Amino acid sequence: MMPGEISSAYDEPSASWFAKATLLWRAHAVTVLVVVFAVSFAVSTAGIDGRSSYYPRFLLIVVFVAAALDAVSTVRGRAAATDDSYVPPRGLREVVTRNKRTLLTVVCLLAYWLLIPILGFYASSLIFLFAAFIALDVRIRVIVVLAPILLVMFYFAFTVFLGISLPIGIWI
Amino acid sequence: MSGLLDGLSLLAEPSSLLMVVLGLLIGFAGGLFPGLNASALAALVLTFSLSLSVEGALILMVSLYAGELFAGSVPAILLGVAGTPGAAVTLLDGFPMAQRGQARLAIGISRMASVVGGVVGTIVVIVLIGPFGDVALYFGSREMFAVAILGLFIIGTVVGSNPAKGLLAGVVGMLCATVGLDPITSQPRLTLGLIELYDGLPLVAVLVGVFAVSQLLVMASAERQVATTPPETALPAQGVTAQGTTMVASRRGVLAEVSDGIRTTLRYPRLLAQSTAVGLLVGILPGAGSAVAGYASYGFAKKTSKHPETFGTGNPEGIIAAEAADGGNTSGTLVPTFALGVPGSGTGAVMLAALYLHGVVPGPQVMETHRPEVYAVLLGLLLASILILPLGIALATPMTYIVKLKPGVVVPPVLLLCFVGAIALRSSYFDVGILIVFAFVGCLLKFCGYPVVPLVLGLVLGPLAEDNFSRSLLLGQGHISYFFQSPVAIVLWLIIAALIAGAVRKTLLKRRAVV
Repeated sequence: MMPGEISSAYDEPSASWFAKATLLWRAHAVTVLVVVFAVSFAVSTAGIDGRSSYYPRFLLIVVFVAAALDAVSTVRGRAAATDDSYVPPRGLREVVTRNKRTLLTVVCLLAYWLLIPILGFYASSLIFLFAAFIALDVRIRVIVVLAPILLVMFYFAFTVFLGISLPIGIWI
Repeated sequence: MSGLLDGLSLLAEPSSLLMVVLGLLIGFAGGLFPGLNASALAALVLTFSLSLSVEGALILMVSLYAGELFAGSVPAILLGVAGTPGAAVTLLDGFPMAQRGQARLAIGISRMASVVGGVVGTIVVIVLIGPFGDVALYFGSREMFAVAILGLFIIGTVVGSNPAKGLLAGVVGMLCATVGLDPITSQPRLTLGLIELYDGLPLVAVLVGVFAVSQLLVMASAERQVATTPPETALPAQGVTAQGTTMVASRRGVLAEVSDGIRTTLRYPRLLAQSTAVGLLVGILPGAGSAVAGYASYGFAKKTSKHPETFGTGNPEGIIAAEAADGGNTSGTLVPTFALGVPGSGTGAVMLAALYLHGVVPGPQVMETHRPEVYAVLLGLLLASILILPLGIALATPMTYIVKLKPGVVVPPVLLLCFVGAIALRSSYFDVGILIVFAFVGCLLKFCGYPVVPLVLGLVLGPLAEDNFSRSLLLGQGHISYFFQSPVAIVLWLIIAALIAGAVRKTLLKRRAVV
C-alpha cells in the first residue's frame, strides 16, 4: 500500500473487522443515506402529476447522477475521504476514548433539550453549563464562577435587552 | 450615483457604524479561535440580527467576515495553527518568519496586505456591482434557473478535493430545500407528517446546526488549541514565549511593527494588485472561498516571483499574496450574492438567509429594489477593511489571550448561544430538534470527508431553482426546449456541461493515479 492510501487499509488482512467496518461506513454512509433520502422524496412526490412533477423528477435525476458519480469515485479510486491521515479505530472502546469529550457533550446537549420544557430555559441552562464544563475538563473553581456569570449575561442580553421570550418550563 | 450616496447616508447612522465595530470584534474573536469560522459566526448572529434593519444585519455579517479572515492569520503566524481555511496559506510563510524571530513583522505585513486587498477589492466591487446588477436584470427565469444549477456545480466542483462529494452535498441541500408543501399543488413533501415542516425546514436552525454546533462538537474533543509550540530559540526575541501565546506588545513595539509592515508590504505594489485581483475573481465564483483564493494567489505569486525557491521558508511575498487575496475575496463573494442571489460563500449563504428573513427575496431585482442598502453594506465592508488596522493594533494584546483559551471554556457557552438562536426566531422548541439533527448531519459529512458549505448553498439555492424552473415551464408552456432558447442560457448550460465533464475526468484521473 502506498503512503497516504490509508482509506484502502481494509484490504489488509491484519486490519480488524471493526476498522474495516468503520472505513466502509466512512466511505459509503453518505451515499447510502442520500439514496434512501432521495427514494423517500420520490415516494412523497409520486402523486404529483403534470408540470408540477418535473422539478422533483429533475432533482431526483441530479441526485442519482451525483450519488453514482460519488460511488464510482469512492469504490474505484478508494477516495473514502479527503483526509488521508485518518486511522480507523480498532474497537468501540477506542471510539469512546478518542471522542470522549464530544460524546459527553452530545449527551449533555440531548439531556438539555429534554430538560428545557420541564425546567425552563434558565434552570436547565445552568445544569447544562455545569455538566458540559465538567465533561470538558474545566476546573470546578472556574465553573462555579463562570456559569452563573454567563447566565446573568444571557438574561440581560436576551430577555431584558432583546426581549426574546425563552421557554419557562412546567415546573418552574 | 444616488444609490451610492443613499448607501453612504445609511452607513453614517450610528447603529450601522456600531455594527461595523461589533462585527469586527466578533470576527476577531472567532478568527483567533480555530474552528469558529465566519459562516458559523454569521449563523450564530443571524437570529439576533433580525431586530436590526436589513442593512444593519448585513453590515454586521460582512464586518464579521472581514475581521475573521484577518484575525485567522494571527494564530497561523504565531503558533502555526490556522484559525481559518484561508489562514492556512498565510501560515506557509508567516510561521517560518515567526520562527526566525520576525513574528511582529509578519503580523504587520499580513495586517497591511489584508487592508489593501480589502479596500481595493471593495472599491472595485462598488464600481462594478451597479453595471453587473443591470446586466443581471436581463436574466429571465430560465437563465436564473441555469445560474442556480451552475452555482451548484461550481460549488460542488471547487469546494473540497473531490468534485463528486461536493456535488452530492450540494444536491442534498437542494433536496432538503424541497421539504414542505409543493409550491403549486400544496402536496406535502418529506414532511414526515409533521405540521411544523409544512413551511419547510427552519433555515436558522439548519444553518446554526450544520455550521456552528457540528463544529463545536468536533472542537470539544480537541486538545488545547495551541497544538504546536514554536521552537524556543527563535521567538523570545520578539516577545513570544516558548508557548507562543504571550506576545505582550509594548506600544512602541506595536507601532514599529505597523510601520515596518506597511513599508514592507508597499514595496510590492504589483504583487498586491495581482493578489487582490485573484482574490476578487475567485470570490466572484460561487462557493470558492478564501482558501481557494489564497492558494491560487500563492501559486501565482510563486510563479511570478524572482525568488520562488524562498516561498515556504518565510518570504514576505507569500504572506502578501495570501492576505491580499483574502481581502479581495471577501468583497468578491458579495457580487454573486447581491447581483444574482447566488451565494458566493458560506457566509454569503447566511447573508441570503438574512435577506429572506427580512422579507427581501434575493435575486437580480435586489439591486433594483434595495440598491442603497447594497451600497451601504459594501461601504460598511470598506470601512471595516480600513478599521482592521487601528482596531487590530489596539487589540493586539487581548487577541493573544483569546488564542490561549481552552476549547472546554468556549464550547458550552457558544452551544447555549446556538440554542437561544434556534429558539428565538419562532419561539419553537421543535427548531431545537432540527438544530440537533443537522448538527449530526454536519458531523457525519465532516467525518466522511464531505464539504459542508455546498449543502448549505444547495439549501439556499433550492427555492431559487424551483421557483425559476416552475416559472420557465409556465412561460414555455411545458416545453423543456424553452430552457435552451436564449443565447445566455445556452452559454450557461455549456459551462455546466463542461463542469460535469471536468468532474468525471477528475474522478477517472484519480483512479489512474491510484492504480
